[in-house]
This record gives sequence, structure tokens and C-alpha cells, in this order.
Amino acid sequence: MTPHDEARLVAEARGGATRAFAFLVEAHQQAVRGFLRRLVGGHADADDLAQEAFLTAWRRLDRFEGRASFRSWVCGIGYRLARDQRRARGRAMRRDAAWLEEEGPAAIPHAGEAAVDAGTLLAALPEDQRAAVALCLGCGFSHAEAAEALAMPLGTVKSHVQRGRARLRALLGETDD
Amino acid sequence: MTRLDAILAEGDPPARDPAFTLRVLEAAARDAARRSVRRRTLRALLWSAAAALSLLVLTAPAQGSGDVLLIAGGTLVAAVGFARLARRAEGFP
Repeated sequence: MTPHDEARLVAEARGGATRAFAFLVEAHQQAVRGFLRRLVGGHADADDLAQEAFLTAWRRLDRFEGRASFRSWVCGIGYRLARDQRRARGRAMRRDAAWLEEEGPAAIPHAGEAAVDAGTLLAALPEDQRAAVALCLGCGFSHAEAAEALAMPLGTVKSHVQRGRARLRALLGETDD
Repeated sequence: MTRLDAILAEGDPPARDPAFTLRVLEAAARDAARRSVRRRTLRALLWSAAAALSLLVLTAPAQGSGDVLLIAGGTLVAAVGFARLARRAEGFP
């Protein structure tokens, strides 16, 4: 989908055309759901969040300025929803995250051991770093696109990706060649 | 490709998933219906409050303050009742 097509569909959807919005959802659901699956781990939770993100986008289409791509915008909404949900879940989640921070290296199987999925692996990273790594290394977003989606400075995103990648490689027992 | 790249590349949903799109559109339709009912409920409440106020003003000179309060209160209670019935008729608890 070209940026021109996307702008036309957004304009039509703003006017209430659900068919245009359906095209936008169909075109971008893979990126948004893929990002949220990597960010929150569970597929069902991630898909619920993705649905909520698209729904929020539908309600607030008039606020979409077109500076970022539509998928960056919806991923940004999904990221904020995931963050709010995690905060709402409170202490139990924080305790789990703290445990993962401490036990991360031992909890990740090394090369040749049992398979590990992206959600489990990325849970070892702090939230901002995880989001940047998931977008740039998992979903193929450019650093600039990820910066727009996460509302972070470009330099911060680059640094998060670099540090996150190094940490994950260390957890997997990989070395830089 | 490193093991890390391979792990991160996994887990994407299919490129086309009409079921998910349909789910989003149904949720959007439900949301629109809910907001429409909320708007109508609010409008009904505002009209009822205005009617109660009018009654209050019209009957104040003729009746005692106790009767006026009774009429205004009764109108508001009826308005809330009608609003709840309207919501239930739309399928909301």
C-alpha cells in the first residue's frame, strides 16, 4: 500500500467509511499484532490489545496527522495500551518482571537447548528497550518509524536497540564475530 | 542469520486474517452503538431535567414548596427510569 493509498483510505475512514477502515486493518494487522505479541508475550492478550488499539484508532482518526505512517501510529497506541494495562495489573506483574530481571540469564535456554519464543526472550528486557527491539528487530521498522511510534527521540531508540540486542545475544550465549 | 534474529522473526500472525478484521469491525460497531445509546440517554436526562425545572418554575407560585419538590423529584426519577429502560431495550444491562 503506497502512502497515497493510505492517506486516501484514512480520509475515507474519517468520513465514516468502515470499508476503508477494514482495508487499513487488513493491511496493518500483521505488523501491529506481531509487535504486540513480542511486547506482551501471550498471543491472545496481544490480539486483544491489537483489537483495542485499532478500535481506539477508529475513534480518534481525526487526531491522526499523517506525520507518521498509519501502522506506526496504531503500534504507538498499542504500546501505550499495553503499558497502561501492565500498570493496572499492579504489583504481581512488577514482582514477575523483577524476578525475570534477576533470573533472566538462567531462565533463557542456551543455544541447542529447548526452543524459546520471542515473547519469553524479550521479557528479559526493560519495557522501553523491549518495545524498540520488538519493532526494529522483530517487525522490521526503521529507527525513525519506531521513534515515531514510541514517541521517543531517535537516538534513544537506536541506543535501546543496540543495548537490547547485545543483552539478548549475551542471554543466548552468542558472541559478536 | 543468528539465533536471536531467527527467534525475533518468529511469531508473526498471517499477512491476511479476515477473522481478525471482522472482529475489529464488530467491536467498532458495538462501540458506536454503545456511544449512541449513551448520547441518547444523556439527551433524555437533559430534557427531563429541563422539564422538571420548567414544572418547578410554573407550579412554584401556585403550590407549596413540598409539592413542587415532589413534582420535580418524581419527574427526575421517571426520567432516570425511562433512560434505564431505553438502555435495556438496546441490550445493555
